[in-house]
Amino acid sequence: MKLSKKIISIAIPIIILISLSFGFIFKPNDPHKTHILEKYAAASETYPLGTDALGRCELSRLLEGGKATIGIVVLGAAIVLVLGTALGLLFARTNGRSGVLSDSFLNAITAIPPVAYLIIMIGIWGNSVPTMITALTVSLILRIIKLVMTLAEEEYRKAYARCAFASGASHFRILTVHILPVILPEIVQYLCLSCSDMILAISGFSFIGLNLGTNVIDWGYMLSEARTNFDMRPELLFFPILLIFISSLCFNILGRLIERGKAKC
Amino acid sequence: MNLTRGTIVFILRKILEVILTVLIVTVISFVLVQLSPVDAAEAYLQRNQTPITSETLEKTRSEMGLNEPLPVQYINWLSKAVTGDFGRSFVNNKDVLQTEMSAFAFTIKIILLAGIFEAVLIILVGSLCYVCRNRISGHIISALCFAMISIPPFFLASEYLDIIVVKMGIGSVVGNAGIMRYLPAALSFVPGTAAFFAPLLATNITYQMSLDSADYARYRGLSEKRILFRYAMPAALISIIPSFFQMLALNLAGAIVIEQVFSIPGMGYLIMSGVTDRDPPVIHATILLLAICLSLFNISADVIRRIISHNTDLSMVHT
Repeated sequence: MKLSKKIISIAIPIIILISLSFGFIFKPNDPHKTHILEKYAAASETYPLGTDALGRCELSRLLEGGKATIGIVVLGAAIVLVLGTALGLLFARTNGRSGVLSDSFLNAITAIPPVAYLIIMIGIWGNSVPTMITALTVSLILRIIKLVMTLAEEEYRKAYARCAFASGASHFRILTVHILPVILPEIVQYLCLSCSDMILAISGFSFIGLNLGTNVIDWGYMLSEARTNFDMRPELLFFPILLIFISSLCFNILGRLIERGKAKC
Repeated sequence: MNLTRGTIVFILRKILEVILTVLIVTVISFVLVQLSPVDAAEAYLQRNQTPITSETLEKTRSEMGLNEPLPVQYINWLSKAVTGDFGRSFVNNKDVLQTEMSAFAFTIKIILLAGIFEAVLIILVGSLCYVCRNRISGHIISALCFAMISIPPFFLASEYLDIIVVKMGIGSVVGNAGIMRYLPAALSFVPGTAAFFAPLLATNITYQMSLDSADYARYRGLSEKRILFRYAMPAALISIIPSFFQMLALNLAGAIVIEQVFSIPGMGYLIMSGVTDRDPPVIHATILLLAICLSLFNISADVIRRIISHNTDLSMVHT
């Protein structure tokens, strides 16, 4: 009973996020097609949420926007999870020596929050989907490497790792079989919270005009469009911000649930 | 608060780290500009409506120093930057240092103002969370705080402009002078950050109130209120000071987006205009300044954390 409740509370945000990112498969209309005669149409059977300033189907645009916004964040986080964890375990110093130089180097590159790296990269290169994924990956991976190194070094000193070592387990085996499962929740939790921040950051960039490209729809861009036509249909502002809020909240909830699960262990 | 030798070494190491951070970030900035799809010389010629031929392009590139290999460009820039000479903008030929300083003045006012409001709100909401922690109202407050984190500041900012300024006619969009110029921009960060830190403060207060020292104060007959405000609250506040500095760093990053919404000519504006105009001197200088500020906030957090943990360790030994 208790377990099923736990599963449900984790499943709900995941299901919401999956349906927001793959909802574009079920979009009723072409999100790019304009019908200038039907602008600001009210909700109808053809347009379940009405149309925007150029007569484009609002629901289709929202679903398409989910693909870009959540897709980028999740793809970036997945790359970071695999690559960052692997590199972090590789660099983890397990022989007890402390490297002042490499420590300082890592501290130096992580002294700047990931969002700032994102601003620098997007600022110089301009925004597009591949650039955003690259920028997201690079800005987060440094933090994850540092996190994994710190956690792995700490675990390596604990008794169970020493016991495994004494019973002949190889260095590689201790790191992957014994330590990785212990530190994985913390890594995933950090990534969930970062995803939440990144959704807000990506939407923010699109909102101020650094959109992801001419033909890419995302929620921040929809928000800035709706804002220019605020007087005509204010509810067009409401849909994208609601989805930004919900998806960011879902990642926050996942992070919180992992944290609680950890505390109980 | 005696600084031990260890702490001084620690601070020196942190200062070296700031220098390292700044070097790394400026190298990144140079590499990124080099890899950028748009050529700065080409953009310059287009802006001045000079016909783009291979000769004019070559001439401009050598005038801009873009023909040198990247490491040489970087060393040249760095050796001048150390003396405070960031060159002149390719767009308006103004001294970059002056441009940076005036933009920085805008941005720092916004983030400090935001920091003050955040501090006040964190203390208020945090103590409210603590006082109501076992009641339904307490759960509602923490749920609200949790939801508030997911509301983007740029949305609050634009809604302020659309609804309060445009619809209701209170205040004005750009014509403000004095503090009103920065206040709305600063206030748009406040809810999100305060909502993040207030529950943290409440947890810290709860922890402080459960310590043996708090129990001892209770046995002395002191009232809960007095223990809270005289002992637990100051201790809890000190323990979140490092986070506060990290929060200022995040404010700085967030300010760049918010400035655009309010059309404030701060560092966000400089980055954006530097990028759209392909103006490398401005881009590099802005990123340098950004890196210095961010890493300074970050090491202040580290140093304060170290001093605090050191002092509490000592006090535990003595008592």
